[in-house]
Amino acid sequence: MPEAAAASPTAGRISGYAFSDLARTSVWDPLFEPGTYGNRGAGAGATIKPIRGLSAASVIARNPSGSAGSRAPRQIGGLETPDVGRLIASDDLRVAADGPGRWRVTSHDRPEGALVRELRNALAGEASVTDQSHGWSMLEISGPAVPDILAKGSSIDFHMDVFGPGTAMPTSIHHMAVHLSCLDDRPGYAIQLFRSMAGSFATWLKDASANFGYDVVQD
Amino acid sequence: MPQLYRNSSGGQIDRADLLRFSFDGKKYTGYTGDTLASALLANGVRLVGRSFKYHRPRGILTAGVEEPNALVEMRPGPRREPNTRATVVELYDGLEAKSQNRWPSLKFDVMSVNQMLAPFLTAGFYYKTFMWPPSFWEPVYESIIRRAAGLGRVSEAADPDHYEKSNAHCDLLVIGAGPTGLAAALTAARAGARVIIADEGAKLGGALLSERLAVDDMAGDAWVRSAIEELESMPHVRMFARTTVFGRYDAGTYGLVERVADHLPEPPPNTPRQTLWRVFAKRSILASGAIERPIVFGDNDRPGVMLAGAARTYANRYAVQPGKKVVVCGNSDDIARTVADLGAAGCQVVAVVDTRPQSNGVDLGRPIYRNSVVRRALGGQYVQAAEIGEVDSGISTEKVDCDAIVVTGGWSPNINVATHLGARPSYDPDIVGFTLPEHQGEMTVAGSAMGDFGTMDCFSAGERAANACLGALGIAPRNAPVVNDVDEAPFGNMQAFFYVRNAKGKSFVDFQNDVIAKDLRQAVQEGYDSAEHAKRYTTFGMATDQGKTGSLNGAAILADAMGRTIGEVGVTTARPPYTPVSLGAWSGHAAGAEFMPTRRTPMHGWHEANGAEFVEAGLWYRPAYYLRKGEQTWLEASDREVEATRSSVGISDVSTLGKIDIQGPDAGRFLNKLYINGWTKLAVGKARYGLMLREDGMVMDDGTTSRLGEEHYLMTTTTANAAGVMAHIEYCHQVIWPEFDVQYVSVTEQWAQMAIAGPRARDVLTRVVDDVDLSNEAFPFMAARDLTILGGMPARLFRISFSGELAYELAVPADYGTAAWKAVMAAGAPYGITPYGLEALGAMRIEKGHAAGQELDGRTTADDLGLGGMMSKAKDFVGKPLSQRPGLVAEDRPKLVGLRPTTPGERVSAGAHLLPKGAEPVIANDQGWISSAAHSPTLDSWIGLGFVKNGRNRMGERLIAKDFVREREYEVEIVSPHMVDPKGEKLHA
Repeated sequence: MPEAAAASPTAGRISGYAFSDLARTSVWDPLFEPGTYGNRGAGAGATIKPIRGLSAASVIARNPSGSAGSRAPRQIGGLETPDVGRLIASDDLRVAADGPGRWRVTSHDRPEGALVRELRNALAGEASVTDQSHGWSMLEISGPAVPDILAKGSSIDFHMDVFGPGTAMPTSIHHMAVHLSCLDDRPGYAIQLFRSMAGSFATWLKDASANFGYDVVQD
Repeated sequence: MPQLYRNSSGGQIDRADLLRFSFDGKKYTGYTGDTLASALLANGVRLVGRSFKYHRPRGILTAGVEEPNALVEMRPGPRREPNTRATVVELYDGLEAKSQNRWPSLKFDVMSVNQMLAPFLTAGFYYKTFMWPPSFWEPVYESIIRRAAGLGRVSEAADPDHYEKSNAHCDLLVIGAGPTGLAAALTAARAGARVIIADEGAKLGGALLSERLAVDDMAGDAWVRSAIEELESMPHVRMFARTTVFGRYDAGTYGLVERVADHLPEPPPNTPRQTLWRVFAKRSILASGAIERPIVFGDNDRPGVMLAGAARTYANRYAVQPGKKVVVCGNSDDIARTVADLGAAGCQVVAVVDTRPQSNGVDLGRPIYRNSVVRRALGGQYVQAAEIGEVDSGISTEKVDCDAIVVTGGWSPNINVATHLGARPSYDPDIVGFTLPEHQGEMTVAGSAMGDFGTMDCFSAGERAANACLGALGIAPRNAPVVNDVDEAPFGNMQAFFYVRNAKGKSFVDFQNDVIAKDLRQAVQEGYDSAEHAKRYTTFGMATDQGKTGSLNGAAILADAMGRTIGEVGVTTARPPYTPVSLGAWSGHAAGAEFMPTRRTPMHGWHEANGAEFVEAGLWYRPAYYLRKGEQTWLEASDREVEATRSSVGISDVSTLGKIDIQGPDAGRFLNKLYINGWTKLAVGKARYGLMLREDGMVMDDGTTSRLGEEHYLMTTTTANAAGVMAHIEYCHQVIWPEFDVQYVSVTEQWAQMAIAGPRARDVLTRVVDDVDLSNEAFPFMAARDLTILGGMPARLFRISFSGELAYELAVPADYGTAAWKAVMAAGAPYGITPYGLEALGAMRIEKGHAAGQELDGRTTADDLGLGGMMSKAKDFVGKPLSQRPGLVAEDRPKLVGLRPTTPGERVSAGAHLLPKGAEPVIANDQGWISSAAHSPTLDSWIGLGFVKNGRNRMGERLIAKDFVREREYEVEIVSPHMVDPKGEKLHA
């Protein structure tokens, strides 16, 4: 046993670790540095925006009658609940279907735990709410080459008539489970994935984007 | 060296752009637009390789992917690539190629002695010769055969280029961009369909680039340019040149390989060498054209023997003379157009040999041998003369000096890709070829692939096929024809003529695999009287060219030998890939470190910075141990980590364990079904160990589950089974108990979790948590609750222990993981807190007799693990009925025990089998096995866990551990699995 351990430790709490002083880290920080990368043609084929400080929650409808979604909440966070395969967004909130009777709710810039508290209060008895703010890492990617970039890892048809704005679904990209939403017709997309795979995903995305050229920007 | 066989004008080459290249170290020049083959021919190089078995000199037979002879080794260094067809390699400045399968040189090849041995090297030679003794098969025979018969050498260095994979979708995939394909693409695209058109050539256009003809009064290549311009202007069209549709798969899925940078010395920055495409097409049109066949005559493999279509291609497209003095031999009106084209290119056609009694009456202005055939090519390393005789006469009557024999035996529809899903071609005597019905599921076969060999017929066929597809897609067609008129030389009037009887020399059917006509006849004689059997016995059609030039000729010879018709014999079907696809393209981005995605915990960076060596657990990377200065081995590190934890306090990253958030009014009832033990009475704020079974009664997984609220539980699973348990839960809810009002979602990634274990664990955590009494009374073993640490950080604390120590698991949201870990390290510094990895964690759980993955191997029951008492009798649960099967409750089942060596210091090894002393090591004497082993610094001994028949009643017995893998044998004593602190006093401290 080390000698120090035998002695009585300094009484009381450790110093220098106050939560109020601790900035939340982002899994993206060591992976994406703002800048300009890859081949340059007419301009960047894609703009990658890693999202820091995400608030995210899974909302799963209660099923008192035994069939999932039978009494689905009509609204989540003030937005109509979207059908399977769809996304509905306001300025500060996105609600995306994640399967029958399941939704992913995301928001920027809310204090730790606030989104889940709001949703739990609003949906008590209607849905179970679980905090996923730290587990679902998210980035946004937009630009003319993005359908071609994503096609390197996904067999979804990214034609705007097929997977256009407002489409959202859980799928996989390069063998990694993701939740993918089309936000607009730039085209812009939001991609959520498990935090632990952010490194492999970033490597893949940078590799897939390089021949089109891409910018990394901060949110 | 001047290009002596190149014309000064004509062709689609850029004479302003001179390219230098080398072949076998010798320097040559060519032009942009050349292939390696056309450039070699332009320089008069005819001998380009040696054959597979007999090492015969070989030249250039074709001008396309079907080439069986001109296989070369491309590029030096790590980019070296064997078996590349010179006929499809685009020339670039600085290209370096080498011949292969020869030693010491192409001109003098020692192994060509095999030709002398030919009488012995017949069909089935390997099977008959290298049979005895069997012990020689691998070590002796295989290595001899491989050295003698190999084609080319791989570089063995890592590939410096990167490859990609991608996906594309379309209404219509057009395979091939000759007249049929371009007409189909234009027709469909003008109607608004999403079209992908792919062609394996460097340029789209197919035969339109090779033949002298006029399309609506434009030269073929000019018309192609206008068609491409129009297609390029349409955003719903994607054109792929240098792209082979190599496979057709189920439900309209196609495999394509795009050679993005093969035509360059090396890929430009951020550009893949090749891209493997998966195309999802609602409809497809196979416009892959036709492949010309040679006529099988004696020594028909001599360099200088070339197919007529190829000769026209070299003359028309590349302005290269295939020879100065040419004999043209064939069985159709293609003879006339070949003679005309070669004449226009300045070749002297010294003889025309026509197998038909009557030619079409065109005056070719030179000797015509009717009802005749070239019976043998004369010459050693290249053609010097042709022996000519009447068909079926059996003798040669003329000898004509020449340097090239240009031959056409007719055209076989190229339906390779259409047969990938199993369609059987049938013989059509009218076109002298095998064809398929036009409609093959979502695929339509069109143009010369259907036997429409005229260019105008192909344009029309392409339009027709496209309109049929548009109809099926519900898109209104626009019926203006793509092309109105084609002016081309006569063709057709083909006679079915395949081979010369009783030819002298060797008559090759399959050039690449050195299969001669005699081999096929011999195979039939020996009883291989089906096309599929004869193929495998003789290796006919089994080379990388899949016998593209030889299949019909082979079928004709087999039919003759069997006394059947060609239609009765049939041809073998093809499998993907149509042409070879490099392995790099198949792996794409998934190479090297990116072979699989990896999963990293929130504290991964800290571990890396602090000396952790990682071990893979599924996709996760977990610290195995932390090597400190002066430590040489993992064992020193692991022992130190165990001792520090057991004597003071350790910290370990357990974020990888599966965590499932379970909510809803029926959550407790649901857990009762999933686990063998009861859950409804678990108090809020408490955790419980749970064990779940598969439906077959075997143990599936274990873990602790905590009750965080009235209707809120948190389940943990093992790292390896997290996804499997989640799928099991989904199944149980959706299929078996859909009436349960329960919701569940994985939160594995939301929480960074660390185990803090050891007698000082409480002291450390007291310095971190906010205003929570951690005393044994206030926060006892199995307590679980939400709290905050460090003045407000949300956290969860569980008093659970895998190590057997006073231990806690602290969870914080993942983005705070490293901060919390560092804070705990700081709080533990006065106690010498020690990070420990999976090795130490494993050693401590083995000391305690806790089961892990090695014990939960899908073959063990709860009782085998000593946990039978947990099985509730009061409730039903998954696996309960089948767990009562006689075999699962038998007395003599192997039970979990501890094992210690009787000789101090003896190493225990997992995987060893346990036998009675003196018993023969056979299965009948087997008493069990060792499942886990570790060095225990606490006991100063190696220890193990294992399963021994009826083991719990055999404490103290000694057995022999026989380790077949490590070839070791040692004695062990059966002990209780609880080898350290069996009463759990430390746990409850």
